[in-house]
Amino acid sequence: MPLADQIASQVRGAVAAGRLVPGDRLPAARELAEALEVNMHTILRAYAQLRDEGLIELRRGRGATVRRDEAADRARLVDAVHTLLDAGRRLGLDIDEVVEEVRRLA
Amino acid sequence: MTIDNGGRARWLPGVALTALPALLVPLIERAWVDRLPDPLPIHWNIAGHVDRTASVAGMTTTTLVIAGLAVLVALVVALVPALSWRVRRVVITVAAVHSAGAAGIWMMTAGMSLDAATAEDVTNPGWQVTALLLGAAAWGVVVALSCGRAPARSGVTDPPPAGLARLDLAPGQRAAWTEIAPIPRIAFWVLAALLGIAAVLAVAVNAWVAVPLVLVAGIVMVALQARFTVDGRGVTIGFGPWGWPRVRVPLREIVSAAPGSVQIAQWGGWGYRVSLDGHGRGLILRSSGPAVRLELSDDRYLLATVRDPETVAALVNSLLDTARTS
Repeated sequence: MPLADQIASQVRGAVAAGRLVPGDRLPAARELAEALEVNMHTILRAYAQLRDEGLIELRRGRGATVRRDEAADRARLVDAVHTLLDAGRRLGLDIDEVVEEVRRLA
Repeated sequence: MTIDNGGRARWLPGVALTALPALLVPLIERAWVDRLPDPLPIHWNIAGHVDRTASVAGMTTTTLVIAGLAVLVALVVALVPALSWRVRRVVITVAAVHSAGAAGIWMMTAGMSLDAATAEDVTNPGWQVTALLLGAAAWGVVVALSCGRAPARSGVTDPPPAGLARLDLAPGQRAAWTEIAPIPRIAFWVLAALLGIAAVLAVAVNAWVAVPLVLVAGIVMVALQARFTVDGRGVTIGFGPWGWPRVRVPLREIVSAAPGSVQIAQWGGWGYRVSLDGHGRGLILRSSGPAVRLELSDDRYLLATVRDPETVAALVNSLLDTARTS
């Protein structure tokens, strides 16, 4: 798994488990990059991914904060979708077949 | 504790800088002697009228005595053997702030009285008080910087004792801990009280008198916002929204980590504190109870109230293992 995905997954897991709560500020990208000894762009990519998933807000000067709305629910949903996609891959199903399975159960 | 016996000459610039503001006072007095009223005003009542005065010579003498005592303390601390580097720096810095403050009061009074016919004609100080406090604090910073960098602490090479908990990290796995402690609720009460007093002073006396209180309130709030980080470099405590100023304990100075507990009463309150025996530092931002305790080289320790002391201690021990066995 690429480093950015691993970092995003850690943050997502923390939000889903309630270790990070809405309003919590994530470390500045530069700080976290130094702490984990990775490139700052890796952290920025992870943060951008989390923003696109609706988990965090990125604001100039304020840094990254966990969103105040349904961030934890979203994190659990995204986590569940990742699990679902992994299971589908193991069964040799393509995306459409996985989606079809979801539709069938909905 | 690191004892710094030698190199006393390195402290002399700090002592000289402590004396400098006071040395300027007689020089300025000589230059301005024909333009100052004698006596000078030294106190104003709440209505802003001068209600106490002192002779120019008396005021200069008082200033020189106060500053002279501060310089004497700085000199003694610079020369006495067997004091730690940090104690010397703190005492010399405090002495410098005293000396600069005393000289600053003289300069402020003389500056406001310049070309006044009598002491009663001098209006009470406003922004000058804020400038005086900031100036004295800035002089303290200059003197603290003149003391140079702290000598390095001893390094530790042994891994932590085997009985202490570790994290289950895979080879090559990187782990870090970072958290911002919530600001204790009592801080908001203190802030509200300070701002309330500031508002009363601003209305009843002078808006400028309230400025130092607002500044103190701001500094209190900034100091209580701290990010605690553990990573491959060590432990970092960054204050304020920008994580600066910060305290860093490099990994090489950490002996081991274990969950411990903290009693706020023993530390005298919240914030970043030094223990009474001088060996410990404490980041106390939660109520009494669990905390992580790091044993450091030179018989020092660091206590920090963190969200999950067990995990933080295990992470520190794992990082120490990695650094000391590879």
